[in-house]
Amino acid sequence: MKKSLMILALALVLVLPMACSKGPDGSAQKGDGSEEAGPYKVGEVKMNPHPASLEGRTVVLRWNGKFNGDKFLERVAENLASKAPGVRIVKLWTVDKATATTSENPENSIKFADSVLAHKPDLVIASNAD
Amino acid sequence: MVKSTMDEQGISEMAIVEVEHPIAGRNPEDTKKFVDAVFPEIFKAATQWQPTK
Repeated sequence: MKKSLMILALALVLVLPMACSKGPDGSAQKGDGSEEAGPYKVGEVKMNPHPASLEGRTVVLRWNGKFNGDKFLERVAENLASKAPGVRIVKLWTVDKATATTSENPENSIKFADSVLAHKPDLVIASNAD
Repeated sequence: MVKSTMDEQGISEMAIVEVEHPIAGRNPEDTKKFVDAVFPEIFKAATQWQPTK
């Protein structure tokens, strides 16, 4: 059976500031000597291990606005709550509606990452539904 | 697409769970069943994934 488009990427949010890094002055870092948009160089990102238990942890669910991805994540949230009592779940698109879309450019990626980080998550589950 | 974006961002690895395409076009009941079927893999990735580098 065809397995094509990817779907869920799970990553510790602690890496997001690095993935969407800013320069010392807070601006996004661009490529060598280039003032035009992208590609942006952000350097190597080191991932953190995931928490062994989600009980008492904060999980941010991030939807990119693709059709039905929110419904998918709604069910993921229900299952997480059942499987890990005490988990705090933040459905980002319900508290920051501007994030319910693809980021489109590095500036938006930084804004979305900042929005995620505001909830101090231990884990982020993103649906890349299509 | 995800992996090429990861390369661009300097991310060498990440926990990814692939599910059958599409997610769109499913009714609510089918979506629930669909998620329930893949949730064990999602939960495993959420709690057991470790970086190798």
